[in-house]
Amino acid sequence: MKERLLKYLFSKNARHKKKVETAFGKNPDMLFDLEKFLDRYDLFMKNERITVEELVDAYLLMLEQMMIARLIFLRTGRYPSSSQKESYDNVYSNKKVMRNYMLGLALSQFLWEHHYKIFKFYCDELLYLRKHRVCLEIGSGHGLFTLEFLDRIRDFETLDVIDISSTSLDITRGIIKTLKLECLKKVNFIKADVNLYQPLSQYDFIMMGEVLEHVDDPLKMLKNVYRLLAAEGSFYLTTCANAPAMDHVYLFNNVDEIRMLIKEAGFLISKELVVPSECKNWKEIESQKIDISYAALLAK
Amino acid sequence: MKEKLFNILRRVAKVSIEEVNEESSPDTIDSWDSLTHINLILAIEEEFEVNFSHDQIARMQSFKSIVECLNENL
Repeated sequence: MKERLLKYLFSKNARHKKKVETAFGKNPDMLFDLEKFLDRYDLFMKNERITVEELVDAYLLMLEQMMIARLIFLRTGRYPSSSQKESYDNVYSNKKVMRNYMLGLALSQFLWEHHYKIFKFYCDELLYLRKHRVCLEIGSGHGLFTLEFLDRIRDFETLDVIDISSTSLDITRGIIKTLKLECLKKVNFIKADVNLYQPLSQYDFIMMGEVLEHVDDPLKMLKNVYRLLAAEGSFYLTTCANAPAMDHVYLFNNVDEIRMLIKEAGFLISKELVVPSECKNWKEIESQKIDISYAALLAK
Repeated sequence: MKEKLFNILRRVAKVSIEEVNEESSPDTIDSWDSLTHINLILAIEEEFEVNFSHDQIARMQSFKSIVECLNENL
């Protein structure tokens, strides 16, 4: 499946082929993990009647949308979407658009070096998680972070998955149903805005991947997460700076802006990872506004 | 126009003038990757004072298709 996928992808986009091949050359594990992922994802794809070509087409469409978003960003200094509501109307509530986007993003975890490194960081940190009885995922997106959690954390009591998009919840539910059925009864799917979410108790572990840049007020969001996290709990966060996409709203101009917001919300940074999307020096990254992925493990 | 485009491509992709021609594409120029492509579009827009549409951007895959799209805007 891996060979078929890469052959089709590279035949369709020669520019992207170079980037992917360079990433594979630098990180041989990426190719191995891509194969492992596809072998497993195959079952979900079969259930959802998605062919390899459709998966790649969804990914290529996302690349095109991101390129246009980047051009708009470099021309105007702003992300294409001006509000959370605009993103909801154009993306999250549109099943076809959202489904394509999530399939594309899922593949990017194993084809983009910076996404891959952020994913590996998350997988590694899960192994050291001390308290994980009651857990929450905010914004499950393509469902792969949820799946990884279920693979690595076996003795959790409940996992609440909250997302504003019913398509994301359907994808995540479909992945668990297909690939981790034994865990399904311990996972609750909640379609809601986390800012309005009032659970009965606090959580030991909260994960929130690639959500902060999608909201109008990320500080409000972080303060809400602070409210939801138990005193000894851990919070895994990822976000990005200078990373235009069709549904990104809040622009972090650099990593320090992210760190400042985290601290303003009351969190302590226990560990973090900063990965630019291009192999350039920091001067070039800043001057060319190259996107940067950020991941951190936070505590109260 | 083509001479100007050759010069822009040479400058952005950091290649010699001998390496660029009408058949140039990401297949023939090693440094023409995704990042170079975006910088190329921006440089052409600036030089010719045009704004490519989303549809045109999607069609710009080679030197030839860039010329076509640019002609539509001039």
